[in-house]
Amino acid sequence: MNLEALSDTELARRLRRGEFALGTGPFVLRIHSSIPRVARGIRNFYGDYPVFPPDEFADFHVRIASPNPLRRWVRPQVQFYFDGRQPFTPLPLAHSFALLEWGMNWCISAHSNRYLIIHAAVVAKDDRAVILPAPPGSGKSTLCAGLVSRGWRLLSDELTLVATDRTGIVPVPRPISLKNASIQVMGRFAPDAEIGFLTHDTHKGTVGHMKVPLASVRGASVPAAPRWVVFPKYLADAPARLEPRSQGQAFMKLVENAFNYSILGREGFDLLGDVIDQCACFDFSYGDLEEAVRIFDELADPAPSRHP
Amino acid sequence: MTGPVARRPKAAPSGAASAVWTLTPFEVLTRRWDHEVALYHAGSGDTLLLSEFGATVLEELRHGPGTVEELLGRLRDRFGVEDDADTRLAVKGMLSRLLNHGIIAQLR
Repeated sequence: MNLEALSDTELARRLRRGEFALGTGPFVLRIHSSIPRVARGIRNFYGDYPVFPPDEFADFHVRIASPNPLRRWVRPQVQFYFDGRQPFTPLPLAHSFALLEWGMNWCISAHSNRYLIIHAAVVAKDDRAVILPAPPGSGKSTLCAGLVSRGWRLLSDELTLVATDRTGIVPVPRPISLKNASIQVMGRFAPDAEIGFLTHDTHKGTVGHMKVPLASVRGASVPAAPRWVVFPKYLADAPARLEPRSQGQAFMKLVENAFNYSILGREGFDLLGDVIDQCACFDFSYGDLEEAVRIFDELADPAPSRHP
Repeated sequence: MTGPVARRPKAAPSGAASAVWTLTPFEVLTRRWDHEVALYHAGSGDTLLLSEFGATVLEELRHGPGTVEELLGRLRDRFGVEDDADTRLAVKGMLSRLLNHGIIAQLR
């Protein structure tokens, strides 16, 4: 059953009682919250996602709630709870949904050692994946959103999950987090893209989430094979440039960007080596999203007609 | 680990020319792409990227312990590497790097 089959009343009831189990990629998250903004965000962004019965096994149990009763009324705040613990400092109530999204990312990146997890966006064309590792502010999410709005399949805008059983990159498609100017850029680039309510004054500035296209949600159980590693960098007004990077250098950058490489040890080294074996690696700088998407389309489909 | 092989000794490998260098008793995995070799050292959990030359020095140590002079000799005999000041410096630099990551140690 998908979330859209649940009424608002039933969604709110399950959330309030801690009985709401949401499927995202290979994970089931049990979410507990009485905060209307959380329910609204889930309704807006996860309508096409599977929901499970209240007694379904869940990988993660999370809760968004006020840290103490007074904080419901005086400068209201919310806290993220994971298995009863509070890994983050409280945030303003208006940040509730963004906090849930960040918290879910944290749950996966800090606790899922069935996968080598790289801090990178990942999108695919015909089940061939391009991994996009980059630090914050490099235009990674914008590029990812641009590609997804033009037919690439979203696996994740934040977490690349490489399965330790060698089945490829496992999707965990969730709303794409856009920040600051990227929100307007995407609004112009893809007017049909659904960007939900904005959350202002977060530690990342203004944040808006872009809804995942239905095709990507439906493809959430289909792994993709790593084929390219591209390190993107947005440079205002710069022409797009795609330049090869050595596989060895790319390997080391992925090691730096992996959350649990050191935990996996030898297995992580072998797994990441296998990823790089299958990939062509590039540095990519761009100043125009339209041009960037065209270059990625050519990378995935170097049709003879394009290169006479 | 115990025994004569010390991990991560403080001394740099610029000491006596007679110092003998050996791999520490931990698994070393390597992966090669073109002229670069990634290395994983099971003892420290460290991952390094080596040049072709660095990987060759490591490979010589896999064949057996050696002094700087012996390593230079082996590189000259097997690969025709010139035994000059630059090569000597490069070997010492590589040994320093491997030592700092606990991949090699001084036997004596």
